[in-house]
Amino acid sequence: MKKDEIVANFVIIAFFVFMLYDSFKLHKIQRFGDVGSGFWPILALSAAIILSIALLISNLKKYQGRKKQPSGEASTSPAAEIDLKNRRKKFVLSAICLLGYILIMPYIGFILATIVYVFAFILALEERRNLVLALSPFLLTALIVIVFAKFIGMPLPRGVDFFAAFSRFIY
Amino acid sequence: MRRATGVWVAVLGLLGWVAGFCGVAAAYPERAIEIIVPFGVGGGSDTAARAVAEGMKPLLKVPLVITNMPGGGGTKGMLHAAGQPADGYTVFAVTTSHLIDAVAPKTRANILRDFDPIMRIQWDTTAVIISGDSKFKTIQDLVEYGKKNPRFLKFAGTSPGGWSEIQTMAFFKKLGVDVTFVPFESGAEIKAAILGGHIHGACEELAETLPLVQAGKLKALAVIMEKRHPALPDVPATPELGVDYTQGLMRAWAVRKGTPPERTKYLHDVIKKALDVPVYKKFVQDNHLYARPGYLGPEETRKYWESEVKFFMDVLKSLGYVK
Amino acid sequence: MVEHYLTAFAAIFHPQNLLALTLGGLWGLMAGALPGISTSMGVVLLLPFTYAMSPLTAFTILVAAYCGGITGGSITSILFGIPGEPSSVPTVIEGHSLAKQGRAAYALWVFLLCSIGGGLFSVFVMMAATPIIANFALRFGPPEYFALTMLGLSVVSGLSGGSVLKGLISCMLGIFLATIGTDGITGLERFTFGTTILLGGISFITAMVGLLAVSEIFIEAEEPFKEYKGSANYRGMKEEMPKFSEFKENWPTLTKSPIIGTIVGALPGAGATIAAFLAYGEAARTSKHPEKFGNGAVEGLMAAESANNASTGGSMTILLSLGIPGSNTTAMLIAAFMIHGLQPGPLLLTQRPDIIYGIFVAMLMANVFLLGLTIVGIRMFLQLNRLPYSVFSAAIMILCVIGAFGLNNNMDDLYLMLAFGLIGYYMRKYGFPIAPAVLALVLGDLAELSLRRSLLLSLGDPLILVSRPLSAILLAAAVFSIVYPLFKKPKMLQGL
Repeated sequence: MKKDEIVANFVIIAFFVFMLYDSFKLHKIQRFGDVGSGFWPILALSAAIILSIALLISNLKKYQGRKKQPSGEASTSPAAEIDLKNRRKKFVLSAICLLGYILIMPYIGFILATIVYVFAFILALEERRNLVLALSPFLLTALIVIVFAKFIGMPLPRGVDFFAAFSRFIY
Repeated sequence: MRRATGVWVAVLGLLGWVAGFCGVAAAYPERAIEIIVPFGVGGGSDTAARAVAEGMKPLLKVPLVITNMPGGGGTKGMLHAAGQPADGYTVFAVTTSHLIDAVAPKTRANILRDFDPIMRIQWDTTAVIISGDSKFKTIQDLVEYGKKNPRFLKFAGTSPGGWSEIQTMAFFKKLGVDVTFVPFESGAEIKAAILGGHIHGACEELAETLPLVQAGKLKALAVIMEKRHPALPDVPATPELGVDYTQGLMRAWAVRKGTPPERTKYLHDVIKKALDVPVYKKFVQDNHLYARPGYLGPEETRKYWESEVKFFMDVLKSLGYVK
Repeated sequence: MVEHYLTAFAAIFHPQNLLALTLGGLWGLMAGALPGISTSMGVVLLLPFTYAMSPLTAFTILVAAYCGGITGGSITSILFGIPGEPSSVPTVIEGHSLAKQGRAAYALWVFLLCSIGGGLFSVFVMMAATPIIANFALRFGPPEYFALTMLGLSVVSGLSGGSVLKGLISCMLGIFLATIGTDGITGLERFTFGTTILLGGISFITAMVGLLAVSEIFIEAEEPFKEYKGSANYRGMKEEMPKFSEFKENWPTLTKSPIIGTIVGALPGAGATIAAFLAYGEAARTSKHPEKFGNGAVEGLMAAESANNASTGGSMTILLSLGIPGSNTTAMLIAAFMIHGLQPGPLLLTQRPDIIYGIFVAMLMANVFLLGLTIVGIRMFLQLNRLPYSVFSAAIMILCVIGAFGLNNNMDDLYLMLAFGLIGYYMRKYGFPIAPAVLALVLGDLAELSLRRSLLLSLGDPLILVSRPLSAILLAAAVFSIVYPLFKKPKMLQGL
């Protein structure tokens, strides 16, 4: 886990350094008297980089300290490993479901996308009750469409061509 | 597998064709018309669009839906409208800021290239506003002070590089004064800053500041238009100052280029009629938009747009925004 | 003045106006509670119905909707962790943490009592001192705004939970993210990399929904499967009624926050969101249990709720006395004034005192009515605990999507929401506190702009920040609040 944290640390620093590099382009673009477009981001990013490096150093120290101790608390039991894998799988699946939902919504419209999404997401959450799986996508979608599209008239995406005609049929 | 896909494509294609055919066959408009306002709820563009829509509602059998799509100074909504089918069901509310964007477009959409104007609806008037207890009594006082102390006069506005800055800088440039432009987020902030004495003044649309001017909290030194404004008969207009400058904020409605002309004409006729409905007339009265004619037909609007874009190009070049 | 109030009270008890209070309050509560429609949208949708009403009834219903919207936003925040309004973000952080500990009913009670209390306080201040508050608000120029934001940011270490270092990194990330998009001074697009997604910057609500709500659904999705949503140790409204002593303990927070709310609410450039964050930060700074912040601190909830509701009164002072809208929603009220042939501005108080005092009284009554309406509404919402857990998560996620979409009606915001959801997920995983990033995202933009505006005003002379009394006092307070903990609790730095 500690190793993980150090990798994350490097990612953070890389991100801030990249943005700092980009923000130097903004330097000197300014009005009379102004400190310029670049001043504030450069200030924030420089502080962020210094702080992240401090964090990295303190993490590395802790890591070194732990390494010296020969006790085997770092090694994890197989059960915990399976649990960790399962957790990661569920997180990745739910993120992919959301991404898919956003990707297809403009093409097939809000209604169909939501039905598909609810089904996929509750499946990813290990829902296995048949009744819930069969009913909830439709009930939930109906409820949301009635409240937001019909009642409030929010311009939710309708999709293209055929799907647009289908969506217009409902809202 | 491939065959199944082929069948599906055929079925979908057929359905799409049928749907499309129905669309042509039925009389326009057969469903709700959407008006895309590229600014937030409660802003100037939004209230103006809602007033026109309110006037149109009794004249139309189909509903009118106003969709606010703020972001990117009005360009995000324009990009969306440019991506909608050119079937006359999507109307886009254009303001001067889109003409300024056309000088150096921020997105793939361009107001001159992608849209056809239905008509210009409003042409607002700008007033030069300072604090009521300011030491400057007339515009001449202000100009004199400004000429002696370049950059010392600080004028507020809303959009850096946009309409507000262009109007302020171009006007003072004609008077030969070099002012400092200080951008704020909203008209409310600007008024508060003037009243609090943090800034000298602003060039703001007349209707927004008129109540404060009438109460004596603010002073109007000049109006930027050809003649004096009926609501402020004592305030000189720009020609009296020896300046040839009468730009004003414009609001128009447009449809995507390629919309069938009979649909554009239909919309034009309905909106034209809506401008005489009492609800809208009251809006014009309340917002003091009666001083100059807002309406301009489609061809004239396009010509007006083109000349405006040229003017903005020059101003932006002189301000250093465009090379 | 007294007779004006008496006539106004007599008018408000007309059955028609009582109905307007109820309907407007309910509509506002609903608009606030549903993600995707803001309070100002709720008021806009109501506006066409008021054309035919008498002016007083029209304003009663609009004012009730306005107050209801601010209140309603917090219900969604506490129960689902989705901020309906930017001003209820601190409520999400503290209130929703309490709800996760099974104490939703308690959090709702505290929120309800504090927000009504804050609302009433500001109405009384508004009734007594509208011109004074408005004139004080006018003294805030760019340097004062800058000093105010610095005071707000100075409490960041108090919001960091365990590690101050991680808290500061999170804060700097927030400040950086606030600079993305159009630069408010030069008009330049910053860090957009030529994309249209980032054009115009990151809208605050999108970032909040992602960082707070979406990331939490991801975290919860990892947990082993549960059949139903309701937690075992959940307690009902009756058992959870807070004791008077709990409020008495926190009296400094409860007096400071409404004052902060009223004053900051009157500033056109700040408003409810910044008021809520300043009060929340102040509560964290002076708290005896700062470690609880971010993890269900009742004081934080009290501070944020009483401040954001108090801002309604503050923003009305400047609207009624000067005709300047302090927020989007009060800008809508200007349109309502015009519809009824009234010019909002300094002259209104002398020309139509009946309307002005009527509005004061309507706001007072709206807060009283909302107390009853909200208790009924909360009971309904609490039934949701019986839903299957998976479906509940899906519903929340869809509400997040609608909330992020409805803001600008734009698909781009959904991708940003997902990105912020992932950022929030990893921040939580690696122990970075989210509250400092949120605080910095709110205040960072205003801080940068007001600093640069100040320098434009002084033609580049930084002394403008300290040469004006009000800004000097605020800046000194900010410095004090950064330096003081270093002497008092050097332990805080050991968390490095």
